[in-house]
Amino acid sequence: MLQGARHVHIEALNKAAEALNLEIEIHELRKSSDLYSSSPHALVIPGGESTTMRLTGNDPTSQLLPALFKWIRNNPENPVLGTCAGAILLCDPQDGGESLVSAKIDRNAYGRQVDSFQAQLQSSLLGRNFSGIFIRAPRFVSVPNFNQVVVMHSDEAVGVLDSNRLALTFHPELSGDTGFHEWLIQRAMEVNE
Amino acid sequence: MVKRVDFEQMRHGTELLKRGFAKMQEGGVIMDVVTAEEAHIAEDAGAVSVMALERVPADIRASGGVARMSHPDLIKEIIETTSIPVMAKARIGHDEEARILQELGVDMIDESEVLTPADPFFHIAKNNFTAPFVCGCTNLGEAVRRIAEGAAMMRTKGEAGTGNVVSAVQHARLVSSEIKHSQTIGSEGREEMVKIMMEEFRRINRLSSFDLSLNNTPFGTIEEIEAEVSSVLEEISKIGRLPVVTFSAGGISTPADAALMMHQGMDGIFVGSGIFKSSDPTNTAEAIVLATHHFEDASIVTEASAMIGEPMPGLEIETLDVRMEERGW
Repeated sequence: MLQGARHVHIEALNKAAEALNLEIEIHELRKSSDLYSSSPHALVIPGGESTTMRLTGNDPTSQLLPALFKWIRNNPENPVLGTCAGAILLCDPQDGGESLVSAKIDRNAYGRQVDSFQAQLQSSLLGRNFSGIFIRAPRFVSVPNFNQVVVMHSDEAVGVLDSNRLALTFHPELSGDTGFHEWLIQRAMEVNE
Repeated sequence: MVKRVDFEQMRHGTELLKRGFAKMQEGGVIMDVVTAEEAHIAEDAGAVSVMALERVPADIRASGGVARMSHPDLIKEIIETTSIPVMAKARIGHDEEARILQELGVDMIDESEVLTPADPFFHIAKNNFTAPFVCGCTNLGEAVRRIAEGAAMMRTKGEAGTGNVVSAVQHARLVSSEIKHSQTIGSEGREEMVKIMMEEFRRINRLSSFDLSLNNTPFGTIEEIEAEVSSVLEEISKIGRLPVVTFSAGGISTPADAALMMHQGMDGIFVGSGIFKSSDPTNTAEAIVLATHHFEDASIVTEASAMIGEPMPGLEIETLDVRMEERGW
């Protein structure tokens, strides 16, 4: 991604790989050509400012976003993790095509930064609680298939898994808990076998 | 400075949330704007945040006098018309201006030397706020003191409103050289560094004719703040960088300036006067964003450099009446 919290995701992925005792290779993508040359098994779309990501990701110099969306549609088996702004892009790609995670999402829906919060979440995907960090976070307005909700904050959906694409409105990369990053790496291994 | 975090209860304004907000700005450009219309131009150019203020630093410099927090109506108008985060400036040590900015819903408060300092002894006690703060620094000691006081993000001070990048480079190089120094001198050497860094918290004692035994600062006792300074410095020497997102600011006016600072290891760029004092603000804004995002690709930085018209007129640092970088300590 051209802008956003890349480094904390890289740290979380490295930590997750270490916990799983696996070797992984991480590529930072800035242009469509970076995606083609790295041929990844899994994708992370980090948090940041979704307006900035859309603008510069669609810029002729980069063309990263159209390439990413096309790759995700062509590789439905490969896992994708989108956090915060990344979840917005998955639910609402605004490229004329179908959404990549079928849920309606509202940008910056809890208020301003002073309303940002942390709270305990329940995740059926991990089968345990998870420390949720919400920063100017988006909010799922509607999730058509409730079976796809895999993370809850009391009675509200905050994580949706649509086939292999996981959209989280919070920031697992800031929590020190690598559960979702481990899930991503394990899914990528299964697909690749 | 890893602190235990309690997730059992819903919480606001924790260090994790404040520093996390700054992390989301990584790789981006934050632009000074003085009207809602300028805020739109900044947002459409790909800015990650806007800094709402009445006058850009170049105009503050030209008009002289006391520079204060902007009028709440202006900040409100910009907040209401922008979808990206809005930052605003409070004077150094002016807790009350900061409280007003927090009340207005500003996403991050810049305790800024561009405004006239309000407190000659102490900066704002930033840990008492829910809103996160960004502060300026010219060297490692300043950065460590601000982080120990609760700053969630740092920026080099540079010399605002000059269009001259030399001070921003000076501050970035000093901070990174002093970080390297802290890594080579062992824990005893770092204890010495902490002692030197602590001196600035005793400014009030130096100005009194009496031998003040004052031990309290707005941030706790001298011992508490020393422990905090020491723990911040230990973490820095361990990770080899500041523990918070660090942007470059003060004098950046061209795409090449932005790329230069990114190559020096900065996490992003503040542009103050550089955009709206240039001949073509829309193109300058887009070009600086492009160069910041692709700073490692010389062909794109070249393309960005060709997009702009006349940059803002620049000033030699030696000819300045007011050196804003000398405000704060």
